[in-house]
Amino acid sequence: MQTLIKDRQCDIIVIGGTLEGCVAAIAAAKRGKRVMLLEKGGSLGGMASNGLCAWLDAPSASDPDVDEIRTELLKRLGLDDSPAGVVYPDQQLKVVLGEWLRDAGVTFLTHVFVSDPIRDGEKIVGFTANGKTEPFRITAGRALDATDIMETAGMAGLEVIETSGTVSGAVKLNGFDARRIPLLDGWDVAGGTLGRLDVSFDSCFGGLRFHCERPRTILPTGTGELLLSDLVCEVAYCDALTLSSALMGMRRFAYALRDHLREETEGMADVNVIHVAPRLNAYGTRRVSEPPRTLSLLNNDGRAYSNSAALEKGVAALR
Amino acid sequence: MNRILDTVDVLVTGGGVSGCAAALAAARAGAKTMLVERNGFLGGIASSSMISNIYNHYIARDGRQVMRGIGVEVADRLVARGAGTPAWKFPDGRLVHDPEQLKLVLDEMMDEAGVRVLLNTLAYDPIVEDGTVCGVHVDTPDGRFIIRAGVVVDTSGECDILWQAGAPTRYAAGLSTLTFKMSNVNLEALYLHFKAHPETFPIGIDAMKNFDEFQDVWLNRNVLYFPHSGGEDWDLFQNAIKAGTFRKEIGQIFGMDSSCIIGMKGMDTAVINSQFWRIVSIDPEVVSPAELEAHEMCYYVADFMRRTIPGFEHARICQISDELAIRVSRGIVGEETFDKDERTVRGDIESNDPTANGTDIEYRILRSVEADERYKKSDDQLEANICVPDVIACRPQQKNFKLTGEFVSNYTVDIPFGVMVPLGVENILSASGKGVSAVPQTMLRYQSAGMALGQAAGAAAALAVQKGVRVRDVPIRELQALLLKQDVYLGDEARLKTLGLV
Repeated sequence: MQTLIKDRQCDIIVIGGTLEGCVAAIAAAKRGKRVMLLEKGGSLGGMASNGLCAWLDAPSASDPDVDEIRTELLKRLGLDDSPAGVVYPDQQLKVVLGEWLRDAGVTFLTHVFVSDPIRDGEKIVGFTANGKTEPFRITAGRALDATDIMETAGMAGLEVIETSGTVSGAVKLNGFDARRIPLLDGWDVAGGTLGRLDVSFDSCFGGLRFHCERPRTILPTGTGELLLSDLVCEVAYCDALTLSSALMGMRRFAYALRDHLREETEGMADVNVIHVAPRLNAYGTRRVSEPPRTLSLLNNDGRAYSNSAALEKGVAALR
Repeated sequence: MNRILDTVDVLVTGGGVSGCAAALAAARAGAKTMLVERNGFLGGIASSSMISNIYNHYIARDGRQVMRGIGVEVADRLVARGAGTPAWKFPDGRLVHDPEQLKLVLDEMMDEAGVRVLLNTLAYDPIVEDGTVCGVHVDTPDGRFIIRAGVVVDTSGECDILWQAGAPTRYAAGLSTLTFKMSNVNLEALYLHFKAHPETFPIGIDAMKNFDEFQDVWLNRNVLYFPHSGGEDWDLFQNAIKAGTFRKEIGQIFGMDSSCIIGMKGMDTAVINSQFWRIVSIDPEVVSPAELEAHEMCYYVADFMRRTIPGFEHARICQISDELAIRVSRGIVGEETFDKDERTVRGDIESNDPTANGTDIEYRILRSVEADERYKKSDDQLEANICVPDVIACRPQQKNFKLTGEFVSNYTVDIPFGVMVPLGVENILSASGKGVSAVPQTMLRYQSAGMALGQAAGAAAALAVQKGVRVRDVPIRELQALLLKQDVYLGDEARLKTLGLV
């Protein structure tokens, strides 16, 4: 049996390479902390990249630290800010965040899954992480869970106090005629056009119901792409098996939607799926008990996801 | 206190194409089956890395189909939904498909077969009692659980569960690539460029012989396929390298002129496979920084292609893989080992080059005329099938193109059960193509062999549970009979008679 463990130390351990997690790590590193960030997927950004939520919406309030992060993010993307927000290339964000973490001196590991918490009294000061080689035992002064549904809650012994049953998916399409598609409430922002597609469609897969009613649309300028989100799935409880079924069903729903768009929708007779978002938007579907001084949970507030909120949460994480 | 998530007959750890085939075979053989996968989708490297072609190891040179089963089912389903090369059942053909729809096809097949799937979840820390693997741990947002299983099929690619269980493994520092997809690609323009300059098309690379084959595949099979490593013989890349306007190596990343381009007519997208990182280790502390460098190089290559390659003037990256596609690294030491001549030997092969790059060896064996005995294929002139008693699938014998002018032969090679059976632990099999017992490690990689191995492993696991025997002791004739029922090809009538199966 393999029993070696690699011990690592840092000041702050961030679980989850979401946008808020990356920003928290960068903010901490700017203050001179040694930071390690762990992500179970293969890339960074969460909803902001692979979730296809590729619009950096306007900030809700003015905060110099948030403004600084936002400005640097846009600079690294090669884009200017604008009052209504900015549409940016979702895939490019992945490499931008990686470079930013590297420049900030943050050590980040992808494809690692955390397991046992390391405790100092009540406080969680680290986690064991597993991957393809020996496990890591990473001890820090402080731990932050930046995942969407508080992935560490179960292992940390935190009780789930509330769940709701709506998750949503997104899909990236091409092969349509932008001048003819039924776009409702369209408005131009820097880098693209936002709106809703005048479509209503529902279907069932694997015993789950999926539907979209006038789904949100992002049309990045000059790309021939259309990002459609708000593809909704009702689930009874967000446990791992159900979320897997929902994710698999969502892919099938996206292709059924494609077929529906081809048949029924102006300007979309030849529409193609480039890819289906490989993660669901589960923000706001779980709340867990949060005993003080144990572990910081960035998303334990029931709020829907937005990129601007992610920047705010990341900056506020260590205040 | 570890709660049990489920108790199953067969647990498959790793939902790549091999694992999916294993899960399907087990479920169809009547086993209660579960599949655990770390990504948010099935298909493993084939999906995440958009490996949009399945090498056509289904068809021998004379056109006979010598590989069947789940691998062909997957191919046929892709074609049926318009997501694969319509006419792929020809010699030296390749099944090009839309990799996004591979995820979908696998989802549907799991659902139909009643396989329970757990995505975004890592199976780890196997439970081993008296040398027998009886389950694994999984951590979910609701905490840690155990999945108990009669047999585990480890298709994690790098034999993670087997390695953690203490089974002996080998390591070959193979090559990896981070792939990307570009949109707004004018594939017809690229074809027309080669039509105007056919002498610049590479010869005999990556199972594509020459421009005539490239043209046939585009005009008659609706696929644009510029072969992997073709860029090394392509003037557009090589002139730029000589002029200093393109670098093929930066930092840890090299081979940026390897330039595989694959697209399907009508989709305006192409998947590009164009850089290498040598997998000196699979430790995340080493891989993650390398993955970032490879990621950056995707943009470097894409930018060059926009400036230089006909058809790519307006192209942009629309999707990037989330992981380095590992061609080969860690595999088991098995009861049997598959060697460079595609023969099976009992036990281990003393590898006189333990850190050899498996993919380099493959290249040398199949593509170059090499004096070094370690890499020379012995039997290019062989005119007979290579047969083993524990055959679980066949494929066409591979040939050295430089010596013989062909990539596959009219004769077949048997793929044996014993390369999946580890030493020192019971009731677990290694069934990823790149994770079986082979020296060089690369010999049974590629999706077609992977699915064949997976199918056999899943069937064997189900049979072992039904009969109450250790999976290494599964009676081979019964396994073969079960595989025949699952439409696997094990040989012609005469061969089946010899095996006692008709």
